[in-house]
Amino acid sequence: MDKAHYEEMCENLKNMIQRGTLADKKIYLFGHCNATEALADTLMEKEIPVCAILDNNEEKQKISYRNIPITAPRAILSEAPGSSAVCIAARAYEAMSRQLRSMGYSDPIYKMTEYDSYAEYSLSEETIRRKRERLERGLTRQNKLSKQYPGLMKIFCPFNALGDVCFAMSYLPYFLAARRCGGCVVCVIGDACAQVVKLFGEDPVEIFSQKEMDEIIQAALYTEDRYSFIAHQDRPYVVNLHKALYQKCIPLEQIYCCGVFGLPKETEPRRPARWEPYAEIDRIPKGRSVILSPYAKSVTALPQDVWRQIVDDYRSRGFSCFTNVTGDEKALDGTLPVSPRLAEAQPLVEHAGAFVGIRSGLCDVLRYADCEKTALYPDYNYCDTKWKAIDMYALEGWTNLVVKDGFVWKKS
Amino acid sequence: MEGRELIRQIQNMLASSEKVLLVSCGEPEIERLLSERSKRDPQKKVVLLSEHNVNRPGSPNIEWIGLPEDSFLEIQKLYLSYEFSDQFTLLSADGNFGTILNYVKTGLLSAEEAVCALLD
Repeated sequence: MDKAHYEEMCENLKNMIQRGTLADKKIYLFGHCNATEALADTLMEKEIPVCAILDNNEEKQKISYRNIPITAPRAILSEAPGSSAVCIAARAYEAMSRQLRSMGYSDPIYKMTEYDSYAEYSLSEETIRRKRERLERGLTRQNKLSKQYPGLMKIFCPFNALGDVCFAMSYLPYFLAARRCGGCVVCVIGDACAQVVKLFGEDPVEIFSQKEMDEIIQAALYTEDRYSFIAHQDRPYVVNLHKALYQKCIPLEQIYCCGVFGLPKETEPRRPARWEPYAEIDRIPKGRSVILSPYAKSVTALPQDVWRQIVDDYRSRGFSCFTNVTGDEKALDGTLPVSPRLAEAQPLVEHAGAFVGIRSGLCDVLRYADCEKTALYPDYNYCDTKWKAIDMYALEGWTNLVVKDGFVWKKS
Repeated sequence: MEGRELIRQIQNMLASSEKVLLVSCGEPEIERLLSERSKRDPQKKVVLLSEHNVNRPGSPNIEWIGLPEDSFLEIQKLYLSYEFSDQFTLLSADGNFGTILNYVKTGLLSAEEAVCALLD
């Protein structure tokens, strides 16, 4: 969960607690995902118990999170009317809310953060009016962007996720060539995504907030602008690629190559190339160091014991251990912090000799690094499909490990 | 059809069916398969909206509705203004975004699989 959404969720929760909204209510969450886990953590910190996490995915109904059972949504119907509330931090708030109402659930449902400004399941005049105003704002931005970059295709990366931007940039040149398009401006959210774009070349980059991005993409959809393209695998709502995953497993690489861009599956992805030397390389013993990456904003965290095993193993073999941290993240015990810029990340891990990371967008950025690389996959299902994260995200040339209960780090 | 009347019709379709597909792909094979696809759950109805009158029999729970061009475009524009329902889907081959039809074009999915994915 990114910082802005997390802060919005915490602020909303704080206000709800102050108003007594949740007092004496049995609290349910909906949709087991990273954001919901963050919400559960926050509620538990405030000593507000969570009865269950509702989820439609039968695979997820077999597990729990911090002793909170994950159950089918119908379970909430056993609660007496007026005694419960559902808090939703997941992106699919509108669909979840509709599902609960259609089941007959009549108690409060709270949206904890605005993840999806495209959706509002209503056709009321008021909703249509507000959405029209939002569209007008998007049209203004679209017009401004077109004037700023005349003749260039506008490529939108609609979500702040390094991996998605990495895949988009890997296949973009072939797509532009197929469209006989001479150049593009890449529009992203946040500085980190802009850094990823710059690893691939000299295309101009524009950085937007999530709200601005949503509005301008809505305008691009509405106008069916042929000089705009939304380079994402499941955003916004018009993209139906994820439905194919109910039929068969299609790894993320092929989703981008074939599904997003319509390119032949044999297409060789472009590699990031514009690396820069790591400024503090003298701190890192060459070939005898490991860079550990335990943090990812959209992936369920791994137990501390897993990282303890890994650190102990590398230290026992004489390696120096470093944790990649940003902001207020803390280095793992027994390691020192490093904070390379993205352009420095590959030279850093190649110099170090080894990289072990939770499977996140950083792994996509480092995909071709010439060193020992290990990706760790929490044992969760990809969205509401039956496929595991490793089925979707496995990296060629890496050691790919699923972390289940009782995981033992294999000594090298 | 005027705005509010059209919206009332959309609301009725959403209330009486599981899914509504606005079919704008111009792919006869996909349209044929959509018509022939029998839903696993015969209780769930699917409405397929087309810009032209489609002379297709459908199946017991799949209904084609041909709309006048202006009504079709009005619904399409409304859907491209915001997501008003997760029961509503636009099937387009030439939008400025990725589509499941690309999987058919590139051989990752058969046309039958794509149609199953859209309707199931």
